[in-house]
Amino acid sequence: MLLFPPYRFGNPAAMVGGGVSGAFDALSTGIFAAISSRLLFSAFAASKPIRMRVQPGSTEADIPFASDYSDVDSTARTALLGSSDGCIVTAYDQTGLGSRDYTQGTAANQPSVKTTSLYTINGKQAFKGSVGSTSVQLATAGSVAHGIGTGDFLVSTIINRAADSVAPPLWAIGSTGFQVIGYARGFPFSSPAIYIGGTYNHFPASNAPLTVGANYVLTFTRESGTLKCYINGTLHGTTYANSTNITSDRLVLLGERTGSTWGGPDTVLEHVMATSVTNRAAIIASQMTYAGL
Amino acid sequence: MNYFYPATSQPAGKAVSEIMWQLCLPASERQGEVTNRAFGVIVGANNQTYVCMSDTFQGVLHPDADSAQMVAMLQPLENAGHLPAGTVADLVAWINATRALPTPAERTFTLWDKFPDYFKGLSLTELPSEASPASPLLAPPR
Repeated sequence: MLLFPPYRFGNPAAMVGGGVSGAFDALSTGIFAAISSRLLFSAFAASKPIRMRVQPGSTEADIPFASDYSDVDSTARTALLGSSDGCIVTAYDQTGLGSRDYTQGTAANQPSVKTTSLYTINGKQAFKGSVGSTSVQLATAGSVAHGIGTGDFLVSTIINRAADSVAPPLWAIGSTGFQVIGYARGFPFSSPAIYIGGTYNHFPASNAPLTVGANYVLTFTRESGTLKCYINGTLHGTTYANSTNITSDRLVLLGERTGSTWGGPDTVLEHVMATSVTNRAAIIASQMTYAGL
Repeated sequence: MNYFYPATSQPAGKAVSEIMWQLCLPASERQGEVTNRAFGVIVGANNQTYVCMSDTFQGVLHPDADSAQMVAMLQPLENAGHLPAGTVADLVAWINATRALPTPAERTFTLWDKFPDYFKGLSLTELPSEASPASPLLAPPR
């Protein structure tokens, strides 16, 4: 059994005295953007994690956390969506570091939270693909001065691999490119890949380690100049050293594409980015617990 | 299926997308809603702007949907002979009739279906090779 420092690995919970704890309260080193259906930082407890829109329709609303902060509130969600489908308009950044919310203002590009039934991972509100686009993106309104430079970074996402024949989720910060895509398989890539400063770095150790329908914590890092990929905390592959200076908008993780554009219907539950790998094991452990792994 | 409509410019492409969404939520009716366009707009490596349109994406026509902006965009094209005579009038008649229906279900429509045939005919089912990479976000090298 792997042992990790005594961080809170599971869901956030009420604390004695009436306060709440966030799942990442002890893991904040270097984190510069984090979104989830659960509470990650206690300071965000009074805020709402996700904004949804009825599809088809134009009504939007921010959905609060459930009372135990382990998911979004199902009553509020039902009040908005009723029997209709739903999309995610904004996943609010929980770090409190600035305007780093992930928003998609184009209706057809908004990922789905519900199509007939809810998209969930381990019973928690997740989202996937979009209702009618080849380019699914949630992006911040502007560039983020994340300060990665040539240093370490971490990008870790809880995903469910929906199918092999479709593209993975697509994430972006900035208008030109901080993207995180869960996993790449098939044309044009047969392995996870990370794009930095115009270079595509492939992880050669794989061809199909992800099982369709299973949940995973997929993590990409740069540690002392070397790019690494972890699947459920196990080192999956290491590429050649890459110390490209990431000034802004210059880190992109790539996946399979559908037709001419990127995006796709893998399901995403939680996503965190950091300029430090200090808490890599603990972040992954917490995410694995949240994913039911 | 997804279609790529080649707009004359990026502002024009965004205007098409915004006008289509305004049928679902007029700007005058917005109360903090974030969604402001129906379809994505990309610029290819060939500097051509494309509106990325799904032929299954549905919206709900707003009871206060105003056809004025759509008319302003389409009427000159009809006057120039690009659109068959009566195209704009037919769309306005559909908007006026449909927006009066009482339930959202009755006002639900597929946006692509209301896209004039002339524009449908210009739309592509795949981006041409010279359009890729559209941007670092959209089209890494093969």
